[in-house]
Amino acid sequence: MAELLIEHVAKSYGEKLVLEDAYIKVPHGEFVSLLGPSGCGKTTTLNIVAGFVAPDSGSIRLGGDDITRRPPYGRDTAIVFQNYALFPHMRVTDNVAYGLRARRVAKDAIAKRVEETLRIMGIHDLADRFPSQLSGGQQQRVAVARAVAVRPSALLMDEPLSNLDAKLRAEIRIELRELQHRLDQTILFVTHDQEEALSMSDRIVLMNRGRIEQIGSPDELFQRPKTVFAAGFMGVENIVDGAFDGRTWASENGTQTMPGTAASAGAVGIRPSELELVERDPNFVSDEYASVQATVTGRTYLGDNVRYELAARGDSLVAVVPYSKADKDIGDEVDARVLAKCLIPLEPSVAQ
Amino acid sequence: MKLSGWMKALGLLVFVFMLGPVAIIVWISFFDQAYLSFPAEGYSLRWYAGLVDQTELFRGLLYSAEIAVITTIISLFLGVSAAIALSRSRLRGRTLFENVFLLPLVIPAIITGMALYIYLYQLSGIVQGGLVPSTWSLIAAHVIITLPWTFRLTYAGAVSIGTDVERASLDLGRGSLATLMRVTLPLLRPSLIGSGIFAFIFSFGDLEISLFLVSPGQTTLPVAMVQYAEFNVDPTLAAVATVQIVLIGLLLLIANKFIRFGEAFSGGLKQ
Ligand SMILES: Nc1ncnc2c1ncn2[C@@H]1O[C@H](COP(=O)(O)OP(=O)(O)O)[C@@H](O)[C@H]1O
Ligand SMILES: [Mg+2]
Repeated sequence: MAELLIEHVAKSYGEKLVLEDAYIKVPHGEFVSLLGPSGCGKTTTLNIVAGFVAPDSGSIRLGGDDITRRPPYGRDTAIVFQNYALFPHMRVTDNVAYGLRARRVAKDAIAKRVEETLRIMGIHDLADRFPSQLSGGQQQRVAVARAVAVRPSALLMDEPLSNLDAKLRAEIRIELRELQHRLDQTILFVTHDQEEALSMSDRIVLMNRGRIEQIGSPDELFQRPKTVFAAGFMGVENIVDGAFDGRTWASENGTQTMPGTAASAGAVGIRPSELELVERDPNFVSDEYASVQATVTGRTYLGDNVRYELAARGDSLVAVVPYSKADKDIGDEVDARVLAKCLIPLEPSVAQ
Repeated sequence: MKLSGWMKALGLLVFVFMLGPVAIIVWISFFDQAYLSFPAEGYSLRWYAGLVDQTELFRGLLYSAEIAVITTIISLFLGVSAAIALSRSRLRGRTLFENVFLLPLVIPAIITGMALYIYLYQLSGIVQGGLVPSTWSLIAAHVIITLPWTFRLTYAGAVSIGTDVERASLDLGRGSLATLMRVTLPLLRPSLIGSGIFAFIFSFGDLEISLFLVSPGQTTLPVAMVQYAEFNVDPTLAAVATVQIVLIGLLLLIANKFIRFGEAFSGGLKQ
C-alpha cells in the first residue's frame, strides 16, 4: 500500500511565499488533483514530492517512509512532464524501458513489462519510432507509458493534457482513468482546468496563492464551494455580499434560511443556472425562494441557453436561462429568484 | 533590377571574392615553372610529388596534427565541462563567466601569443624550468584559443536540450553521472563533434601564437611554411595549401552534417 502524504510543507523563494503549510493526503489507489490558477504553487508541490525542490519545512511520506531528504532517483515516484521530456535519442521501447533498466530489472522481465505497457497504452506499433516521429498525442502516451512502466508508488502528472487538442484531451482523460483503475495506481495530478479535475479526480485540492482553499470530492467542490475563491473557480459567477448574517440572507422578500453550516462573514454564491427571471411582483413572499428586483442590462444568445446580465441593488448578476424560457429583453424590470436551498454561503478566501 | 536581384549579385560578388584566392592557389599548385608567374607555362604534378622530399614541411605536418589532436581533447574536456556546468547553474554573474570564455576571440591572436610567451618566460625564471618554448606551452596556448569554440557551441547545445530530459532521467532512477552519460552527452553528440572539429581546425591552422611558442628544431606546419617561403618562391606551398584545403574542407563538411543533426534533435524536443 502506497499512501502519499504531504505533511505541513512550506516553501518560499526569497521573500515570496510559494507554498504555505500544505497538508495533502493521497490514499493508495486514489486520483487526487491539485487544481488552481497559474502560479498558485502546483508545480512546486509536485517538484517537492519528486525531490527536485527541497521544502523549507514539513515532510513527504510515501508508503510510510519519510522520503523528504532522498534525491529524485531514490524515490519511488515517476513524473509525466507537461512537455513530456521524452529522450529524443532513444526509440519508444528504450524510453519506456529506461526506468526499469535503472532499477536493474532482469532483461526478459523488462521486455515483458515494456511490451505489456505499450499494449495497455495502445502504442505497440510505435515501439521502434523515435519521439520526433510521433504526434503530440502519441508522445503523450509514451510519456505516460514510460512513467507507469516502473509501477511507481506514486505517479505525478503536471498538466499532462494541456498541449493536446480538445477532442484528444477528452479521449485521454477516459483512458487515464481506466489505466488508473486497472493498475490501482496512486496519482497526484496537476491541472488548472476545473472540468478536467472534476471529471477525473476522486478528490480535488483547490489551491490559491500557495494555500489550500478547499479539499473535497468533485461533487463537494462543485456543489458546496466554501470560499469566495472556490465558488468563483467552480463557476459560481454571482457572489453577493453584505446582506448575509450567517444563517439567513436578506433579500427583497424577507430573509431566507441558508442550508449548511453557518458562515462567518457575509457572502452568498448563486450559480447563473439557478437564477430564474420572472415578472416583477412587489407582493411576492415565499420561504422557499429568495428574490431580488433587477433590471435586464444584457442578453447573449448561447444556443441552448441565453445568458442575461442584470443590475440588482448595486450588484450585477448573471443568469443563464434555457432558450425556451428566455422571454426577457434588455430593459425589462424583473424579479430574479433562486431557491433558498441553492444559495451557497461563502467564507472569505483563505488567501488574499 | 529589383532589390532581390541586387542581393543576388552582391552575394555572387562575395562568393567570388572569398573563393578567388583559394581557386588561384589551387591553380598555381599545378603550374610547371619553379617561380611564380602568370600565365602557366605548362602543368604538372611535380610539386605534389616533391612534397615527399620536403622533410621540414612533412615533420611540421605531423607535429601540427599531434598538437591539434591533444589540443582538441583537452579543449573539449574543459569547454564541455564548463558549458554543461554553466548552462545548468543559477549562478550570479553567469554571463560574466560566459563572456570570459569568449575573450580569446576579441584579443588578436598575435597579442595572446606574445603575452603568453612573456608570461611563461617570466614564470620559467621563477620555477627554474624552461616553460617556453615547449610543446606543452604550445598546447596550452592552443587550448586557450580554441576554448571559445568548444565552449560556445556546446553551451548552445546544452541550452537547447534543456534540463527536463535530465530531470526525467533522475526521476526514473538514474543518478547524476549515469544521467550525464546516458542522456546529456549523447544528446550533445552533434555539438561535441562539431566543436571538436572546429577546435582541430583552429589549432592546426594557427600561425600567430605558434610563432612565439614553437621550439627551434620543431615547428608546426604553418610556421614551417613561413620559414620555407623566406627562401623559396616555387609552388610547393600552393601544393601544401591545396592538400590542407581539401582536408579541412572535408572536416567542415562532416561538422556541418552533425550540426544539422543537432537542429533535427532539438526540433524533436520542442514538439
Ligand atoms: N525557482 C524559482 N524561483 C523563484 N520563484 C519561483 C521558482 N519556481 C517557481 N517560482 C514561483 O512560485 C510560484 C508558483 O509557481 P508554480 O509552482 O510553478 O505554479 P503553478 O504550477 O501552479 O503554475 C510562481 O509565482 C513562480 O513564479
Ligand atoms: Mg505549473
